[in-house]
Amino acid sequence: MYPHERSLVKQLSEKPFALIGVNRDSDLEEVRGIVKEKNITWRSFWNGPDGTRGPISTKWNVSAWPTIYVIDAKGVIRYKNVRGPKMDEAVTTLLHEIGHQIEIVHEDHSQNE
Amino acid sequence: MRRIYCVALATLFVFGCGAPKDPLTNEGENQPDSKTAMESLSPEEQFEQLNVAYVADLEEAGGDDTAAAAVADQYAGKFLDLASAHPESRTGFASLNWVAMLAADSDLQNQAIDRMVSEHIDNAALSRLGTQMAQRPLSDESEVQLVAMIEKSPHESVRATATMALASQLASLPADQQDEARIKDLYQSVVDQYSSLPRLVAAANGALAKFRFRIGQIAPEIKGEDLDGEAFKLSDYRGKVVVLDFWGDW
Repeated sequence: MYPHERSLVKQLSEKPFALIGVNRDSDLEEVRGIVKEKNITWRSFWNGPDGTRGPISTKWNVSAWPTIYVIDAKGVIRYKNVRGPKMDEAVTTLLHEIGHQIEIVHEDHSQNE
Repeated sequence: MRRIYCVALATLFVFGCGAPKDPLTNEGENQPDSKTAMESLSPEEQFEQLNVAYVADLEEAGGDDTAAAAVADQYAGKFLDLASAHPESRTGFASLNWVAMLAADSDLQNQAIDRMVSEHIDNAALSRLGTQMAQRPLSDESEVQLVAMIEKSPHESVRATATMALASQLASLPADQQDEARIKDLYQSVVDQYSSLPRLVAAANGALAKFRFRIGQIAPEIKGEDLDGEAFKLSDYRGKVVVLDFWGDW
């Protein structure tokens, strides 16, 4: 999960692309530690001290974690719960729509952390 | 099968308490369907006796669903008659309710519901019918019945449960046949009008959320703080492709 996303963020750093998290961990100190430890390079909203029952996931009706939405440049939800190669494909399609040809290649698919 | 049995017992219980014992049946003559005995009973007692007889016949049918359905429909006819004999009474309502909940035949159910709505529109207990109808499929009849409850009932709880039921019946159609705007309006009206019924409002909000977060909809705004406490919002990223990832470490 993290390595794939980290790779995506790194490869698309010059493109109009952002990976935004919504973090559900109730302990903010702990999650800051995790961000450092696991080298999470993207920005996250914090869902607040109520964890999975926080305001953002409640508003978005998210009950399964992780849940992924892919949103196009106009702000329209275009894909839901795409992971790995499917996420790459979705992002490639949406960037192509706004004139950016990209090819996503991950260095090492087998790595776990 | 077991559910039907429990509802029958529960319905029975409503009238079972406090009804005076009938002297006729207590004195050896154990014939609940004897015509004269029946007529000398109060409406509540007649209801109770019918229900007792129904439960006994149902037990006789054993686990056979077809036989049980036939028994239910046979008694549905008797309860409809009882309702006709005592219109605008508690027993009349309870008898129709019995048929609406327990009849196997949908025409009998519909007949009973039509009469509950036309003859008992002022009854607050119609809210239970509203709640129950949310589980039923949409039909031409159910739509008319629910709209009548929404438009005519003097009770918020009846109007609100009927609105929820109509919305969920409409929403149970296949996606390409759904009138999305109408469904959303119904749920929204529950949110707007029935703040005294927080559980229904929460359910309506949950249903609305499912529409808002569908593919093809504009992503609703998120305003919040990042993990360092700095405020930002989702719309800051308009113009970019965004992967929004609800995550936690596990």
